[in-house]
Order: sequence, then C-alpha cells, then structure tokens
Amino acid sequence: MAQNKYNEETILAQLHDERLRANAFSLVVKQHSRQIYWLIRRMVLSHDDTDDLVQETFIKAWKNIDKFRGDSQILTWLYRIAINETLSFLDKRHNDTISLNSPEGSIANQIESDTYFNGERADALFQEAIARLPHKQRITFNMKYFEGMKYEQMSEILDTSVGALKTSYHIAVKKIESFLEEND
Amino acid sequence: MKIEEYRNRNNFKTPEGYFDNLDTRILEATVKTSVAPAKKRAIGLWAKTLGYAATIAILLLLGANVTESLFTGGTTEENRSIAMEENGNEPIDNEFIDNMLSSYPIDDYTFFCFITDTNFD
Repeated sequence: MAQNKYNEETILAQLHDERLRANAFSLVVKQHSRQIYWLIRRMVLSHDDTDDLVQETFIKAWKNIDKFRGDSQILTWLYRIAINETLSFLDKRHNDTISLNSPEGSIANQIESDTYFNGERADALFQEAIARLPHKQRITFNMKYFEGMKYEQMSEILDTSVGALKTSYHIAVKKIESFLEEND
Repeated sequence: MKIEEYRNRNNFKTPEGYFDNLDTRILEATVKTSVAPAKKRAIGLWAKTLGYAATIAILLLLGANVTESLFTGGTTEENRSIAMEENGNEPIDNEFIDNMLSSYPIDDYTFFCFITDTNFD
C-alpha cells in the first residue's frame, strides 16, 4: 500500500529508490507546491509566469533527484531551485514590468489591471514598492515579511550570512516605507 | 497605511480550482522527463594506490600459498591445510579473496591488466 503520510526521512529514502521514487515525489509535490507557487508569484507577480516557473522548478528537482543527498531539508532544496529559476527568468525577461525606469505608479497600474489581482490602489502601490527592490533584496523581504521565515533558514537557502540578510531586510523596509510615503 | 498592515492582505488570486489540479499537472510534466543519473565518483589517486597495494598483497599471499603447495607435494585440501598449519599460516579460501577484491576500488579490467603486466594507464 502506498504511504501517504509525509515524513521527511522516509520520503528522502524513497526518492533514492527507483521503485518508490515516483510515489515519494508525488508526496513532495503535494506537500510543497503551494509554498513554491507563492514564493515565485510574489516575485514575478503574473500568475501565468508563476505557473510555468513552478512546473520548471519541479521538473528540475525531478531530473536532479539523484544528486540531492539530503544535506538540507527537501523544502530548502526546492526553494533554492525555485529562486534560481525565478532569478534567471527575471534577468532574461525583456519586457520586465518591474523596470526601474517605469514612472512611479505605472507598475501599480499594470498590477491593478491583472485579472488575478483584486486589491485596492494602496495594495498595488505596496506591490510596486516591493517590485522596485533589487531582485535579491526582494526575495529577502518576501521570505521574511510574507513567509515569516527565520533568518537562519533564509541564510541556508540564499547562501548569505544572517547579518547581511538582516541588513538587507532593514534597508528593504526603509525603501518601501519611503516609496509609500511619497505616493500616499 | 503602515507597512505591517499589508502582511495578511494577499490580493493575488489564482484561477478557479487552480490548486486542485496543480499537483497532477506537475506530475504529468515530470514523468515525461527522466532522472539524470548521479555522477560516478572519480577514484582518487590515494584510493587507486590502495587498490594496487591490496592487489599486490593478495597476489603475494596467493603466490605463497601455491609455492607451499608445490613444496608439500600436493594440492589437495588436506595437504594444503596440513602444510599451512605446520607453518603457522591459515589457508586462504576463495571467499576471502572475493571479499578482498570487493573491498577495494579496483575493477576487473585493472586487475586483469595488473596480473598480465599490461600498462593500463
């Protein structure tokens, strides 16, 4: 009978057993797909782009499953893949809606016109303030602010010192507050 | 509005029922791709040397065993055991050799090259 309860150690062992791998991976997907979706969505904003990147993340994880030795938690590993995929996507995107050259308020306009956004103007401006942060600072802010992640875990995922992450988050908050004050 | 007030306001939406079939779509996409095999660990110089040293040791032991059999006038199990016991040595059985060979990182080809004195580098 297939095991349906999620246990990190058991899943890890099954991921390295060819006979049990597919079932174990389906449990990993069920357990973590939403977290991965929201991490990416807050970075790229568009649902369609997020959907593609979520799939890419899990395909890459599947392909490289033999190389994952359990040195970190499965979610930490998935976060790393998702972040790499997202940063590559943002770097490549020609029509970046998050262009720093956009006049203030224009990114908020694009966000507001998105079918899958139903916030107020203030919410769109808040998203614009985040979108204007440098990519890595944005990831740091999102992980801390929305996910409530501990700096130690973020440090493991982003391979950055706790001190640097605290500073990055503090600067991000200041920038966002400043943007919101200017556009109040 | 202060920054803290946005924390619990998720204004991003997904299509109706999106998360109901997300897992299925991901799994459909993944099964179409094959898992990349993990890279074989390269055998380092130290491990290689150890392998050669083990092979030499095994061959010396085997040589000693054969020589003693010749001098004791027979190769039957009984004669060999008697000869070994007289010299204070234990006879070497095939299982011991197999274990030795499987314990060191040396493959059949390298072993063959070694015993036939072929240059394998």
